[in-house]
Amino acid sequence: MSVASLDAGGEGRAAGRVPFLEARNVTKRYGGLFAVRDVTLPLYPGEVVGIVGDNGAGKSTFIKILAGDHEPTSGDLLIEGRPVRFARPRDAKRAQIETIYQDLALCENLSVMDNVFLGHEITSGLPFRFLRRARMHAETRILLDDLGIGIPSTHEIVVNLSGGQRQATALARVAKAGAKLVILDEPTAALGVRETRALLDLVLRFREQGKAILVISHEMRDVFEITDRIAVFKRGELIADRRTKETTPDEIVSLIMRGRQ
Amino acid sequence: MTSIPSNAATTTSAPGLLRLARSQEGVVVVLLVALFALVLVFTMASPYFLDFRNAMNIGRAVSIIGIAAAFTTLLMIAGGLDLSIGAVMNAAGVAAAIALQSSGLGVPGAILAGLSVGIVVGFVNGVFVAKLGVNPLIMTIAMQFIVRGLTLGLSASASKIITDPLFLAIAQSYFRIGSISIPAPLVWMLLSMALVWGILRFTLFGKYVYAIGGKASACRRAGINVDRHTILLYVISATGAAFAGIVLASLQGAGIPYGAGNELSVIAAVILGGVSLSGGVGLIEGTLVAVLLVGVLKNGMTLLGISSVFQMVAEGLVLATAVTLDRLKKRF
Amino acid sequence: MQAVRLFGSAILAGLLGTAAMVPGAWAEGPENPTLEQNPGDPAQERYWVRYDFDAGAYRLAGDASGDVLTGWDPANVPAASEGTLICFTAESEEFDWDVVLVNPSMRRAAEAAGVELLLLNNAYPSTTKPLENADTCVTRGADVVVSFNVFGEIAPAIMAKYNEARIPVIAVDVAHPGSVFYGADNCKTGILAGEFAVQWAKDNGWPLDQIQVVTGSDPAVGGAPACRNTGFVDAIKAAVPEIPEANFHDVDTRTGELGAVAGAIAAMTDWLTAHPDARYIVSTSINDDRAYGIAQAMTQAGRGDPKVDGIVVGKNAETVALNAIRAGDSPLVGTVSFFGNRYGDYLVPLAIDVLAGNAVPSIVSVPHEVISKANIDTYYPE
Repeated sequence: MSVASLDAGGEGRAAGRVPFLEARNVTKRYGGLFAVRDVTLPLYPGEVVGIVGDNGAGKSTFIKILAGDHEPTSGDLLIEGRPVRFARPRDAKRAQIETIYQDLALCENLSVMDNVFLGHEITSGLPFRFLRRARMHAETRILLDDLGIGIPSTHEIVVNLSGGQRQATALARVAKAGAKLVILDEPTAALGVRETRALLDLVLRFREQGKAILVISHEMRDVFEITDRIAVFKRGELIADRRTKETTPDEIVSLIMRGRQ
Repeated sequence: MTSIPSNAATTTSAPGLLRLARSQEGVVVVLLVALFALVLVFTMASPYFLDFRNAMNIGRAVSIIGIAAAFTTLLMIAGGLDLSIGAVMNAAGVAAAIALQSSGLGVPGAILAGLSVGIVVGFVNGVFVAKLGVNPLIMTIAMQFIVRGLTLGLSASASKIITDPLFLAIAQSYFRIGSISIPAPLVWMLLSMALVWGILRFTLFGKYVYAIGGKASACRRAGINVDRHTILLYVISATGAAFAGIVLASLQGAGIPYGAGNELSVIAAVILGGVSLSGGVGLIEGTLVAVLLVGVLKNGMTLLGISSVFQMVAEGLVLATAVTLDRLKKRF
Repeated sequence: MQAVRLFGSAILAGLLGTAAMVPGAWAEGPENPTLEQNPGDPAQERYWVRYDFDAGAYRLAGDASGDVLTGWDPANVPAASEGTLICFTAESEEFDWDVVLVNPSMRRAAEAAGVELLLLNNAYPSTTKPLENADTCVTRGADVVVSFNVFGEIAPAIMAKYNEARIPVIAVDVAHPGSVFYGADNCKTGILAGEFAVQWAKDNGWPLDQIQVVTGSDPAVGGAPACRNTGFVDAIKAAVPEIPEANFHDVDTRTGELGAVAGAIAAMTDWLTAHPDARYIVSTSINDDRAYGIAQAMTQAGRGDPKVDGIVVGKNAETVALNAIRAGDSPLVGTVSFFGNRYGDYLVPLAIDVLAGNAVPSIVSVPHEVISKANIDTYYPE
């Protein structure tokens, strides 16, 4: 195994591609504890990167830093080469980074359309801001069709949807928000077989549209199906960044359990 | 196109009536049925009930609570709670009366003074709840004591009589349409309900009220300034109570600092109308019907000569039944 | 445009309608003596009046004969006409004074006179229920109203409704502008209680200049009963001018927090703690509940011997006071009775007389008497 093949991210840079978002030497300390230690990870448009690792390996903390929930103790974040600082999640959103955690951040009492447009509704008639419902429903329908999401009615209240449909709605929302980087935390954890299939197809659709995607998952099968690269975390460190095609599930599991050899 | 499996039990196979019963509209329908049933019963039991004048009396009697309930419905759909509305009502009435006596700004000055009380109290409530994370129940109860004490203190515990005919006209006049006279307070209540209805149905703010009540964290994630909206909602609730207080002062002909606070009746009406205490659910139509329901119940019982002791028990039972049915509904 | 004009004229009509309804906007001088009367003022004149159903107001009855103070007798009232409806808006259905004394007396008297009594509850301390009840009385087509509303500030609004409907009103205990008054004279009540207290002090050989005068007030109740306390103080000052000003104390009985009795106990206990050497206390409050609370506080503090520590004089002759007086071991040794259990015997005939178009006094006072151990069995036999 050559050293170079452990840094698939670096290969991309070497080939002249500009990552949409790059974490460079990012460290997060809590007193004497290193939650994330000196992690360098580029994320390219149109590429799906999977993050794997055992519990407490620093995966959650790392994506929280990318999403603006935490600030790194040291290191940089760069968007298309320019250094940025996220003081709060709103800053990351403004940089077109969207995160979907396990709670999905959907308002269950509202409709699919309401959730897809949450935060960026189409209104008219300042200062009263009347909602242009018909138009938003139409655009939601187009978006759902475009993404291949099978939800029969955009008027349906989210509480009545299945787990997979809710996931899809959450993803449709980040698409509508114009996300360029989509971060997913264990997206298939609560889904059945058919729904997982549908979700993975959706992720691939995003990839086709040129979004950068980062997925935390412990399902090896899913990871090997949709990712282009796999980043292995152990004890806060990024111990491997491998091209998915060039590795195997056994190898990844071994890296997770035993670390770098 | 991949078809994602849907929750078949609720979207396709549930009978239409059951779905309706579970929905927000279902609550309003049930309340309307109950209201009509009550009207029927009282009409048969008392010859004085089904009478235009009596209906207008009911409208006037519920209008104060109805005005306050309309505006606090907005806050409660968003998951908030305001127990200071009773104290604000009295304070606003007293402020208006004092302004009439001493400010030289006449009735507009009095109205401004009254509403300002609501704006200030609501702002303080909102800031403490949103920015400092104080529990709204505790915060608004604390405000209730503070406002009540300040009102008694600044008025020297003496009612302020109002004689200005224009101010008295606010609650004591009638809108005449043809041969029909509608008491002004009823009109103010209906206008308040209509305003809130419009906000909830058509505006962005109205959608955010439901969204914040549904899941405030999702709204934050979506970039909505939840804190600013929360503060605004507490201001709206208190200002609505202040408006009710101005109408009350006009009705009484005096700003009375020690009137009994009726915040519990207001909140009970809103909850009876279908707003969930945890937020996110509820229609202003429900609040309106609930307010009318309680008013008809009280009026009918009075006309039948039922002791007010039983009346109190009956009102409590109605609320308990409504809330229980609401819980049971969720199980099926 | 049409709608705006309609709307505007609706408002204008409403305002004009209101202007006509606000009492005092009429040009009614001494024609109607009931418009402005203060029953608590000893200098207040009383007049014979009769209700003018066409005008919808009382008028001076110049043709009446007899002394207005003593000349009206309920026994002389004619029988009521068939189907007479008296609407009685009772002060409450919660308090002893109403539930045990006044309300039953009204029902008894109405039944005896063969008239229908519609009893509505003003639900003291509500300031909105009395207004709603006025609407109900009008809707129900009452012939005459007996209004027991103790909030003077809303009386004009209430009277506006009755005046518009041309229904004669008799106000109980708190004067309403434009109505005949029946009730306790709060100042006289206070004075009688004060005179009784001074007499007790003299009978028990108290050093008069060391008397401590404690009045239990309630800011939340409104101004009307205040004279029950100030009359007490004035009578004592008049009888014993040598009591220093510093010996007069006013205590807030904190009804709002704890209720009448518990609040008074708490308030008086605190006062006693703050004045550990005070003796020869004479105390009163606006009614028996609070007086009883004050007496309890004194007993619990070990300073409740009516012969040497202090006494409390109550008002209303409610059950709790009568029991304490009968038992004889409480500092509550007297209460001023105005015979709530006889209110109906006066009010119902008065109402019938007004309806018959006869002349009645503009102010009818109830008999007042201080009830103590000496006379309790005469007035309230067991």
